[in-house]
Amino acid sequence: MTLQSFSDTIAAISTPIGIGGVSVIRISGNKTQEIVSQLCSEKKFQANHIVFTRFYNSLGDILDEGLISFFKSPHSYTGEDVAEVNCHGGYITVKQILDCIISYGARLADKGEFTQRAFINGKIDLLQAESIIDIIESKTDKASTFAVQQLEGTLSKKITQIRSQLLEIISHLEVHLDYPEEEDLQLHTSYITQLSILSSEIENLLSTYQTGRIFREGILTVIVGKPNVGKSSLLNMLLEENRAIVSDEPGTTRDTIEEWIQIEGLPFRLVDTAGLREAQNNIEKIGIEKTREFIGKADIQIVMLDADTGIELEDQSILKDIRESTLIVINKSDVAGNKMNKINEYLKTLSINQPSVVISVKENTGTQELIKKMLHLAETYISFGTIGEDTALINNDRQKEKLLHAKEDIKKAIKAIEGNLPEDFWLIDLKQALTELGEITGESVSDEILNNIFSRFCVGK
Amino acid sequence: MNTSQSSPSITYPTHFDVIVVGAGHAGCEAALATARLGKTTLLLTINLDRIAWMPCNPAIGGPAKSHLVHEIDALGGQMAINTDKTYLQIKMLNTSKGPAVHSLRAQSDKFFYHQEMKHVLENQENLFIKEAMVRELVVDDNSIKGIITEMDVHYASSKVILCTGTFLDGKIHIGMKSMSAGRAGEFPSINLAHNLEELGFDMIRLKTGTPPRLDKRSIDFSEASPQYGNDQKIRFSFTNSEVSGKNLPCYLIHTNQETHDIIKRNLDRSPLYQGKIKGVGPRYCPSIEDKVVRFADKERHQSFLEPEGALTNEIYAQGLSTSLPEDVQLNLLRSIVGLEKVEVMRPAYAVEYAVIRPYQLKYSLETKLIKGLYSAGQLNGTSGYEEAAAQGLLAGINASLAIDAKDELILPRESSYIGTLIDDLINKDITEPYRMFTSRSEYRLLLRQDNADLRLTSIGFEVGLISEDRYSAFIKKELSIENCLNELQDFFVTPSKVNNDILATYNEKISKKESLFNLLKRSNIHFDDLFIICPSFKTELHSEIKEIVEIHAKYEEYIKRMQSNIAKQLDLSHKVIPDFFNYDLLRGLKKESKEKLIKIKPNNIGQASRIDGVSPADIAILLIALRKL
Repeated sequence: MTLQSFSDTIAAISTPIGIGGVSVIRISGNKTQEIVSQLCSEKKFQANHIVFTRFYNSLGDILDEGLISFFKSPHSYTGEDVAEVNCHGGYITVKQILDCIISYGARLADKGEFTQRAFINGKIDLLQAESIIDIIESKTDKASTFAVQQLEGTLSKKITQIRSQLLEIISHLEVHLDYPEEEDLQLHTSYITQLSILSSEIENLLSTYQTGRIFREGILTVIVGKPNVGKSSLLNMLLEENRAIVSDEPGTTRDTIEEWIQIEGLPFRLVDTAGLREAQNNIEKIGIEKTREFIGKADIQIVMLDADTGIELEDQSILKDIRESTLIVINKSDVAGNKMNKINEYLKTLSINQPSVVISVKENTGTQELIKKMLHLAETYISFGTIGEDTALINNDRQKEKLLHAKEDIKKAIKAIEGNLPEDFWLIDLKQALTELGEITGESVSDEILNNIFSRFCVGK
Repeated sequence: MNTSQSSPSITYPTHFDVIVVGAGHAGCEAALATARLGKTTLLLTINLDRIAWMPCNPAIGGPAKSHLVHEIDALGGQMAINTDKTYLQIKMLNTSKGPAVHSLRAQSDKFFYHQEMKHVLENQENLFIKEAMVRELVVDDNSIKGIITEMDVHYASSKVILCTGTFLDGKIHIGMKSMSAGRAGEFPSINLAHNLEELGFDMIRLKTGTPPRLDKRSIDFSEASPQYGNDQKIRFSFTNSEVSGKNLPCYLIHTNQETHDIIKRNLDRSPLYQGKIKGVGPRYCPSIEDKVVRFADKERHQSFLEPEGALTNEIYAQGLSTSLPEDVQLNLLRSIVGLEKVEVMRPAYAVEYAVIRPYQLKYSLETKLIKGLYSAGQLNGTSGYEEAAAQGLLAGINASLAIDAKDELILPRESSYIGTLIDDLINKDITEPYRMFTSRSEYRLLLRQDNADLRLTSIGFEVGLISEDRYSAFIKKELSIENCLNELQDFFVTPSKVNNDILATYNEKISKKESLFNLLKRSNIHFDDLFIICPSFKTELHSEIKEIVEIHAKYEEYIKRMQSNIAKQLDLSHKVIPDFFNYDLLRGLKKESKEKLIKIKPNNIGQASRIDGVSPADIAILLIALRKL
């Protein structure tokens, strides 16, 4: 029998498509050397050396020229033979070279597959693998900083600490059950207090999920408004003012309605609902529902009104859905003249007190004010927690789920204690919590409890 | 593989279906099981006067061990019945800590226990008992063919169950003196130990110890607090077994600073601290010198003085096991209040012995190396009479099933402590004597002593160790439980003033109509209270049944949760790892994990995940690899 796990060779473009002067294609697997030999004139590759070369297709046409670095197994990122092909940026050339590589025997890598192989080959552990995926997917500088911190173990240190306190309590209770005749093992009276402290420590960790989510997924900002109110123009205006961040999936910059910008280090994920609404082939109902859904999910809502047309029926329906974290943007101030007052009066009659900004996308005015207000809303309505150098951040759903469960388990145990259930029942929940926490850091429970008992308590026949 | 060293001069004329080597607690259960299942069985022991001997604590049961005894009984073993008849005291421990940890513990009359078990063995059909020491195994083509004794007698058999306890290459230590011995005053089994090694078994040495036996007449009990058992006649067995009914006291005494000073001053004469003992001892049962050194800030350690029998003055000093020399033992004992004038009848000693590392076993307790050879008890690295008996019973059942060409009996850890024990032995790296604890089970709430019969009687019946009569009584019990549970759902109590007045006496009240089942969920209401709360509810039930029904009602939610945990674990057990799976091709596993996986060759992912040192990350790698097969 042979394992097929490593029998195929994978390849993918590992730099953002269409951005930058140089693109990198990464190849990993045992056919790597054969493939790069076919791709270029060089027949021999020395490990850890960079070679300047031309790239040819199967017909012998030159596609491009560039660099190839070759890493011999196991001294590579994935642990397999790895080559990195550096070619000129731009979509078409890179795509052509990748097509060649695939025709020479590689297969297009699945998402995260390089990291998966690195994990399988023992180059990184589970938490590191998750963190690397976070770095790859992180949209801002801060996000990758946190991912790196986690890579270095801030989170596991914190969880390990909570876990060992829990283990201590469990051991204390267990020894009481397995050694009923040891006189010196009296039950504490303070289990509830101790457990409440642990529960609130987990709660604190959980509260960082929000922050983690923001840095990973961005502050979801939807732009709503009737057709032609200028949503796309507003989006472009914001993109010009700020550094655009390219999404990780190819093509998204062109055809989707999502864009990323970074304002003072905070990532905003801007969604233009125009795409949603107007691409629905006029099935208005679905469009409105979708918009509503987005408004519900969004951290910040930008409602756009047209100063020129004034408030129309459609605007009224949108305004019904606004929330505290909504920013009202009145566009076309350049042509509006005194119509602006009417809008303000209408808002006043509905007692809508949300902040509003007057802009003109056409004349590019009001942008700075808009950005300032967006930042203000973000700071007001999103709790970031306090983030220091060594803050442990929860930033994926798996970790969040496990922590939530652990917290619930501890709560249940407290309830069991308060309900005067016997000790054994406290332990059912506490041990479950211990397992959940262990699953975050990759520790297994097995004999831990007994080991702790024997080292901590003087027991025995 | 044929390792016969010399051709024996005598070949015994009878062929036995099964040979059991050793007549301790494992050997007795193994031999009784095979004989009762109709197999002619030869039970060999070095000393007929030491059958079912208790060389250490004269006690059976306690947390987790009691659970094992109940399970042995449900499967048709002898230990529970023998204990019930011969105890000096019996006590239910942990009664306030939850039903899962309720544990029965008996102080045994070790002489009576031995005598009674010997009597049962001697009168068992198909069972032949002989005094002999085994020198070597006869093995041909990786299958067992029989044994040869030290006296050159060859007994032929296709099934051999080794239950040799601490006798394999045993060595006892008292101070810096040591001698080869199975136990104090008994021959060691040296040739057999070497033979097993030659056959290719991976062996390690473990250590255990026993405290001194004191002369009762020399103890001043006036300062010691007596500890009695329960007055009611309670029993281990689910059968209507004969119950001793005795209630002799144990006594609690304490060491003091002077005792500790004596020990510290003499550590240079401790074989343990001088590195003379190489075997690893149990952390859960430390010697007194170990306790004093490791827990230096403890002002005193407790000791229970336990009677060894009704007709002896020997007193077992629990908690004071030591390998210090005899003069130090006497000094440290005499520093204890109540023991100022104590006379020691047998000194404490430590014993080192050879053990087959149990990863070499199948779940049936057959060795992977030699077909037809089974191993049970202390030889597999466990400690404790109950652990030994449980394995002996399983090995006996499986040897018999193999003769009948039936499927082996594998008890999963989800449904018994016996299963947990064997699963742990195979998958955990045994580096110290293994003792059962309730915390070793993930499913403690489901593996109670009260429901051991519900879990295992059917299996015992199917195997053939439970009689028709006992089985039909069991079925009747099962039915009563089911009927009672249904009935409780059908009776309701309304929130009338009368009813709430009654409930108020239990500090309870209801605001809507409640079934008796729901009322029983409340912590202040117990089964018998239902008759008062709801006079129309009448039922004649045994207290055992009431207890089970009450547990079922009170802890229903917890029980359900645990059952769903089991379902998850079973999912992992269904992910089978094929025999041909090649771990060498798996990169990324930790070196240590890979070595263990190759050694143990787990049957499925569930088992793999329980192997010591195999981390969730390793399991993730295994799962990915299996998916790609």
